[in-house]
Amino acid sequence: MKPMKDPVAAAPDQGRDGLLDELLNHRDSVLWLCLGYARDPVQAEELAQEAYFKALKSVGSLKDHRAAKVWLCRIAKHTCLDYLKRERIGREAVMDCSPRTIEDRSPETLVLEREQQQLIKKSIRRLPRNLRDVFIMREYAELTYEEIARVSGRRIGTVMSRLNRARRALAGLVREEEHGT
Amino acid sequence: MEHNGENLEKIRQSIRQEKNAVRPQLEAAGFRARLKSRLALESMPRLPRQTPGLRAFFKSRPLAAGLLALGTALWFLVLAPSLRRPAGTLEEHILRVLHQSSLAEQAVAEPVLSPGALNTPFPDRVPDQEIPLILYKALKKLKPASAFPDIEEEPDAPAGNSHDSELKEKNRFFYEILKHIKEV
Repeated sequence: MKPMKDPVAAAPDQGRDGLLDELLNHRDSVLWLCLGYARDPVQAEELAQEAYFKALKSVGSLKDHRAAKVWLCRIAKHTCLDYLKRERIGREAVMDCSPRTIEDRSPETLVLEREQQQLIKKSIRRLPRNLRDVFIMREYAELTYEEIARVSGRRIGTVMSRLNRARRALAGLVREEEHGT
Repeated sequence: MEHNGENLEKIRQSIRQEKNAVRPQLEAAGFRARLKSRLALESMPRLPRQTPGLRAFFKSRPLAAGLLALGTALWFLVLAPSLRRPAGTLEEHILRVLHQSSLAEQAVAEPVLSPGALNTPFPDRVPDQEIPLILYKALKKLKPASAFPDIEEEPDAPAGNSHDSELKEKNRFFYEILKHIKEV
């Protein structure tokens, strides 16, 4: 098998580290997007790494470097959807939102927060796919309406309406989960 | 509606908390370093992968494996035997041959009746030493049953031509048949 060409080195008119740094400027958006889909932070980072790797492999398809954020988020979204399909965690995963860091809050507060996070993640996963994607892009990745529209290939009006529906549906689902129905 | 607004604020707060808690864990330098090492690993020349064997091929395609196993079993159980075996039982085959060519009478005149004398090949899977017994059973159906001795008696083979003696010895059942056909 032929050794794979280093995608970063193969990028035209870009130094290896220059391109990497440029793409890594959007790391937070990609990471938060992945966190919205993943079951825990470790998984989120793996998905983000995977998304970056895929992006660097196909860096030739990035026509306009100003659109790098949208391009990266689109790749990250597809990577996450593939992951969900593979793992089917939407139905059966046991959520673990516990960050493995030293906390200055009391254990009781931490436990309550984690329970709440698990409940919300579970509710997000119960949303219909088109609503869930828009919600994660907005609330986790903090993309603008325009960016969401470009990532998902919809009009801004559609994005806004879906976001509104997603929020209302999610609020209802969280209430349901809290009441254990 | 107000309830939804409260819930929404709770959701946003929870997401913020989750992100804040995760942030130090996912520090930028580590992410970059891991990505770079992965890229470096991928760009290293690799040994050619071994071609996946049949086992790996079928492991990833259980339906194909099942169909192949079913096809093989079908071939061995149904198709292959039916291709090798002539239609009907062996006895019916011999009877048909005897009727068609009236070789029963010719056989009487011959000291030795070899499979070749019937001009019709016996099925391949019949061993030579079984042919007289099969023929005996076939002839028994043509002639009155009383004309034939019990097969268990195993009469001695009569003496014959020198070059046929070995075969005669071997096929003593057959000679018994010929003797009784003559008598009938």
